[in-house]
Amino acid sequence: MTALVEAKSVSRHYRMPRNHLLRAPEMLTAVDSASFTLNRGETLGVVGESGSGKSTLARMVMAFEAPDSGEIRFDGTDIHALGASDLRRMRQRFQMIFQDPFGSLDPRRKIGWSIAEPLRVTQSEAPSHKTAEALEQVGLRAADADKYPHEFSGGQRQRIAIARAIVTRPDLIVADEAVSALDVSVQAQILNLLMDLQDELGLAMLFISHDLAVVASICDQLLVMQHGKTLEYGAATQILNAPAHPYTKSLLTAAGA
Amino acid sequence: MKRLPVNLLIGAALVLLVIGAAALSLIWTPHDYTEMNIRGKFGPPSELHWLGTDQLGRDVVSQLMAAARNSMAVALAAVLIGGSIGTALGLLASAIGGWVEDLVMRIADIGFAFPALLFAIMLAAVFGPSLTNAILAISFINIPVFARVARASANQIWTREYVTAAQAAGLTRAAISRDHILPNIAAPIIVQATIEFAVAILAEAALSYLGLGAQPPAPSWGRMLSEAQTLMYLAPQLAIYPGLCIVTAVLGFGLLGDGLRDVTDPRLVRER
Amino acid sequence: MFDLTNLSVHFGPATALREASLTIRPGDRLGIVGESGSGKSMLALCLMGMAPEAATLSGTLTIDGRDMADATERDWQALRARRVAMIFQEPMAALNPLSRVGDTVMDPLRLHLGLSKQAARARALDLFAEVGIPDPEARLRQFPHELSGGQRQRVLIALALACDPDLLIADEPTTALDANVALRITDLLVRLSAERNMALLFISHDLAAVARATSDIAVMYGGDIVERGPTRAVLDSPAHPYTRGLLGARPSATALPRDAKGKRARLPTIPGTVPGMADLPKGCRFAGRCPVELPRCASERPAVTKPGPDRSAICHVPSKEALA
Repeated sequence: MTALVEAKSVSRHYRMPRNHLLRAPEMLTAVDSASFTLNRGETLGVVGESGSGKSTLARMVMAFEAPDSGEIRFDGTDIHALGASDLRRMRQRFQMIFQDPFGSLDPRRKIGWSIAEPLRVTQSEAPSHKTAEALEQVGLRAADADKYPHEFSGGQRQRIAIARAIVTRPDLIVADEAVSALDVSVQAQILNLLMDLQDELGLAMLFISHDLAVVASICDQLLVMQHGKTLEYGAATQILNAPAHPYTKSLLTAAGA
Repeated sequence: MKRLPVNLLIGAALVLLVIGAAALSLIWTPHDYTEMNIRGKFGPPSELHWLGTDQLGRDVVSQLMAAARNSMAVALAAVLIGGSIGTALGLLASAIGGWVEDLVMRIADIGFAFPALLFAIMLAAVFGPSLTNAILAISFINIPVFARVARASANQIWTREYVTAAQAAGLTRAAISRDHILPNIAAPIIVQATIEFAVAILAEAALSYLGLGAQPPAPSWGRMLSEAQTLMYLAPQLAIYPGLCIVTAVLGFGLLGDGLRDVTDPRLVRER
Repeated sequence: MFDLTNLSVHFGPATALREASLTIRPGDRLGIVGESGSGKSMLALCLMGMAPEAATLSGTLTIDGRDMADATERDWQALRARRVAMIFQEPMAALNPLSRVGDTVMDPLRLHLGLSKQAARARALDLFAEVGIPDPEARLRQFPHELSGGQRQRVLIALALACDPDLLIADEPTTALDANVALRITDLLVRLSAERNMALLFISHDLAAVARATSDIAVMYGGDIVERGPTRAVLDSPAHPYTRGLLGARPSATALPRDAKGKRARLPTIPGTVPGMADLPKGCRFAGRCPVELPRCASERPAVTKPGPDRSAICHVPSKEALA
């Protein structure tokens, strides 16, 4: 069986704003030859601070931007070699959850509309029972589809965003700081929900956070990033029990372990 | 309930007055505004002619009302045409980005720098003076204004996570512009349209004053003003009435636009 | 020094803070833990004399024995900066982007303390050195965007210290910072509090940060201080069910175990959601979500129990383990 996601030596550079008119602009290496393998139904946790390149990695897995070198295969297909319409169809199979529960839903749209959005890409008339089912799977009521985002709390909005992500029955969910903006007790509820859905739907997850405690609790594999470089990559229990890099140790200290 | 800003209330009242007069003129004016009565010229205000009559004995109130209708129609057409094209260009520039955005915005800059009146005079010189050409000229100068506002607002919306989520869902940039960007930039566009409405009223009056807009006998505040100019010493009130109308309409739409911006832009409200 | 007795804050029918009592002495390091809507920020605003105008306050707040009930805005202005200063979560938002950080720190020195330009500069350099900003001379001339997040927070701490306050309120001071930087800022605040005998009110939702920064802790829920006591004791044997729930819900940097079928264990959670300010139960605020709830909990406000030395909890059924 092929791995669901396979990243091979993926690098991404950004051009910095020019400091000096005559000098070539500096290049920033956001991600420096990162490699990982993610199997179906498993979770890869990526931990690092801001500027570590973890979000750039997520954006490349989501095919929002292309790597400068290396390749990312989704179910055997190089997603960055796909044509625009093939990629759009492929997107049904990998979805994303964002950090800000207040920014990830269009304030002017009823949440039922937002949840059905990914379905409308391939079918002009989205069946409402799928929206209802997704809402119930995330612990909300089907009748909530007719409400607007401002009628919900932060935790509930994150549930709505998750409903939108699972409505196409994807194989992969990319969660970028998906619980970082939530209160501790809500955080635990959402993490449990993600694990429930993973068991129920066989989802693979790429779970990205600056918070090692959060990442550690739900991942099978762990990838620790700093300044674009991969410091450690391997089985989560092994890294947590015997961190090889001093940076990982300091993250463990900060997490209160 | 939040208290509405004073400029919004005053603006809305003035705008209602002008639009009301214009709408009423469609079905009723005290007299036929083209009806001349040479014997009754320069008549003082009376029960029959509330603001008197002009140099040809026409009823001033009826003319002002009909001119309001003309003014509103020109401004509406110009803002609709210029606003639609400009907003579409701004959305396009923002959705595609890169050199397309640069090109559209540079052209908009050039259009922005071009004096409107000069453009109208050019149009009139080539195609002859007419109301249609005046509308086209005012529409044209509106395009870059709306393109800028639409593009700046759209660029903000493009950074929102719900837009990224729509991209992740596989929506095309055109679909995202339609579904998410346009509804969310509607407020600043409407505010701009209200302000541009005032600008258009002033532009129409100026063009008609110069003889490049409404042609006789079509009524226009600008033309009434220019006709009254030669009679300033004889009958100054004939210049004052259309002047007051222009001020009322421009001020009304200007204040209404400002007020709408105050209530729709939470950033400005917080700074108060 | 700072003494709150039965302070309540109401917005019409909604209660933001209910009969909060708190004493802060010089050198105290008190942590306030709670989630959104717990009232922890409202408590801080009251101590700064900055409660929103729409709020009705009752109870007493005394500062150095003076009752602040009839204090005017002018009185408060005199107290702020000199007696009580505050730092915030987002250091970038609290700094003027167009002003050099040196000027930002020197301006209040000249304004409040009437120092000359040279004296203010010397004082600013001392402060920068005290909060651990390397190469203070060069930093004085820099703009906020040229500094890292941690350095910006240090600048704000220097600014807060400028007039030698007796109480420093830190509202989520490390939430926006990377984990390592957050640790160093926390340790800096602890050191400053000890060296200056300055009280520190450390408000955070992050239990690990509060555990590190404080000697005493107050846990807030729904506008109530539900539990108080020495930080170690409270975190080791929480008496209030909410404190227990909060501690349990926090992941602990270990992978959750999988059972024989490979199914992963779940995190313990507090069921339900925090009700709105106007919909809180009349009795114990935690009623409806509490795992050990009694029938009277929702209607009858629990009395204060003493689960241990210097400890208190507002609960009808405080943990036996903690009481023992």
